[in-house]
Amino acid sequence: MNISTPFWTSRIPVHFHIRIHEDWVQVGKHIFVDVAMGDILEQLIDLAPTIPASRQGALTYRQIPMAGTWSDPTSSAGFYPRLQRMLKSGDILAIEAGSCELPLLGMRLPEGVRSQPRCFGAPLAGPVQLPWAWRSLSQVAKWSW
Amino acid sequence: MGMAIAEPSRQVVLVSGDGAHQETMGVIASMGFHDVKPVIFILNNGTYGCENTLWKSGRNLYNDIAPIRYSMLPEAFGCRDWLCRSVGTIGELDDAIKEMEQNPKQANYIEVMIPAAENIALPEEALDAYFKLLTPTDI
Repeated sequence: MNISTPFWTSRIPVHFHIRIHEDWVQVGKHIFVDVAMGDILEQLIDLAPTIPASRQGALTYRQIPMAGTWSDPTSSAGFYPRLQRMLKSGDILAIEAGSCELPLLGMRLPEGVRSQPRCFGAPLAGPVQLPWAWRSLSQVAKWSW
Repeated sequence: MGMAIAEPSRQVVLVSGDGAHQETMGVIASMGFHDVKPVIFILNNGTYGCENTLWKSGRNLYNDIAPIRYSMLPEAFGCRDWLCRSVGTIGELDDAIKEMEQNPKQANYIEVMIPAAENIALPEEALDAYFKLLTPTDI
């Protein structure tokens, strides 16, 4: 779930970096092992400042406005609202890490839909529930509809 | 594919760009071989979109990628009874989604054409902040 480094935040000195890996964390030169990513994210969310009242409710489900008519050429504006509406409870949305990831970051999911960055094999080796993945992504999403 | 095998009772919906898909599309054959039933949307804009946002237009020709006819891949890879469509209009997209919903146990592969013009480079100042591309003028 690498959201910030694709934007090349290269001006942050390395000794300020906190790298959260699947089961270990590096803070500057210090390494902490046996720390689960899920636990870290849950704790960070709890420690984060309270969301201002003006933004409360921003994470509730809302639909992207429909765009495009029958004969219009397909486009991102026409695709994502339809993707959102076809998802149903129980579905897993797998996201490829590329430019199509950006609109998906801000897309609210219907209740019971899970979102997961693309990964091959890992879920097969050890299927896990990752409800925190979307919760965390939603809170850092820069794209808003 | 791992997700689909791990949790066969759930519908796995994959959204991928065509650039990334060219690196990983061989797994379609594995999906057919293992008889998983994903919903796959390939957004085809003919380029490595995330790269083009980072560089001036036309700078890196290798970001323009081969014009594969993606919707034919599942059949070529031996996937049986997949719903495969290439859609270029909203009407065709709506029809494809309707077909998918009517056959929930079927594997689906939908290529969605996206205008390359959607893909624009970030402002020059932003690119410089990321990559230090510009030669400083004050030294």
